[in-house]
Amino acid sequence: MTDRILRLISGIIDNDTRYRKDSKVLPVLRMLVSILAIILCACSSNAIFVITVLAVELVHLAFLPTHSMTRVLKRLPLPVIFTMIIMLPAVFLGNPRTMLTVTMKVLVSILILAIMNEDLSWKEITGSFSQLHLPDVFTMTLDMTVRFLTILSRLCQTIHEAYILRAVSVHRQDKSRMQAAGGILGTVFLKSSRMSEETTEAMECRCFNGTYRNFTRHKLSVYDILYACIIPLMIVFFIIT
Amino acid sequence: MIELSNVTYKYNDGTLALDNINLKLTAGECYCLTGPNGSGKSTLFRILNGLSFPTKGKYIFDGTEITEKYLHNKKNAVAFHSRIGYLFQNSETQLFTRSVEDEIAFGLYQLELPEDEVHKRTEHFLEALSLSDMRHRAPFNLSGGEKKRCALAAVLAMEPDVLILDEPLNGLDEDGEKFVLECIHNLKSPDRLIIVASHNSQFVEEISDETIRLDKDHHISLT
Repeated sequence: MTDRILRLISGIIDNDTRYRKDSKVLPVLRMLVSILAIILCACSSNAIFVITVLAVELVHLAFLPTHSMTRVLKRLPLPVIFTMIIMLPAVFLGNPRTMLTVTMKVLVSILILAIMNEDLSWKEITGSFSQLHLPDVFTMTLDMTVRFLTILSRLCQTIHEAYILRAVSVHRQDKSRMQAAGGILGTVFLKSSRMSEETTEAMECRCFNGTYRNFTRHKLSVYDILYACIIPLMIVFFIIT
Repeated sequence: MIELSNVTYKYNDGTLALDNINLKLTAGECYCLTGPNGSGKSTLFRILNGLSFPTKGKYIFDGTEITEKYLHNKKNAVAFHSRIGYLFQNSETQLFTRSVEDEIAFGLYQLELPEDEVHKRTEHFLEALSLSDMRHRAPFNLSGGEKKRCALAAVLAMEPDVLILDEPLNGLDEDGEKFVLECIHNLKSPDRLIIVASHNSQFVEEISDETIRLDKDHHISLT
């Protein structure tokens, strides 16, 4: 269980870099279009807009590599089923269309986010925050949190394994094994305190002045201009429908 | 370039870490700091980096006395830290950004260098330390040797005049050790001062021009 959580957290940052190439479109633009699409779908009272966006995203999905497609599709069923269950009372109250509309909106939103997650790395997503004028400290705190979660989780796991190997006289079912959790967490807390001090010193040694920017080689291209045209087109289509 | 004059350091609980150290280090030389565990090597490095300050005595860097008050001024702190590069013994704590290329570019952005210069230096050091293939990877997911190379690249990118390496061979395999040794040889220049702490006598013999020995009583001697 711990392994799965560790993989999830460290995967947020590492995110399959073997398969990932730099995004062709400016990441902040890509993110803006996705967020706008989600907002407009949520605000739409007409199913045509939502279905059109769904169709476009499915075409986008079809162009992704197989492993990316699998990952996206794996994320869809649970939220959709959960939404359907939550909205089931609407059917009994004589309004089945509501259930279908809301479920479809959830499906489209999850699909948009999942595809964006495949297109953009964690680095590009958080790097876009500074271009959206979010304070650097926000991005830095986010990155540091994920980093420390991963490192400290690994440490916690290592200490726990060391305890298991040494606790030979303690029966598997013995509750006193759980008592070790307090000691492990205490050690991890002290270690994290020490690590945060060392990180502060390391940042000081590299002249930290509050700037936390994303290193990117992206230059504006025709792809960015074409992609930017999607925004007004989407707004016009939303108004028309 | 660096002068320590009657420097003594005691921890808050009164434990003596350094006792009346007198040292003069000049640019163009490579010094190796040796000594048993607990002799005060890391404490000495912390003082040289301005992370700790002597309980008694003076630390003079290029004619300027480095004190807590002096480094409290941001401009002074940036000017000082940009000239001294410090490779921590544990590379993990020194790597805190989201990718290898961000790690190398981090210091350069703090120095407010132009974007072109940041790109040029980042690409150069990615190439020089064989990190191009892992430029997008998160530093905390790298192996020990890769972390060491990443930390070294991040420090070298700022082109410091003084390079302080705390146990650079720690946790490295034979190939990693050879790589670091070659790096240090290539870094030697008449304008640069290099200080390395190491227990490896062969390594010390190969790279050092002079050896500084800290003994158990926290005294220093030059050989």
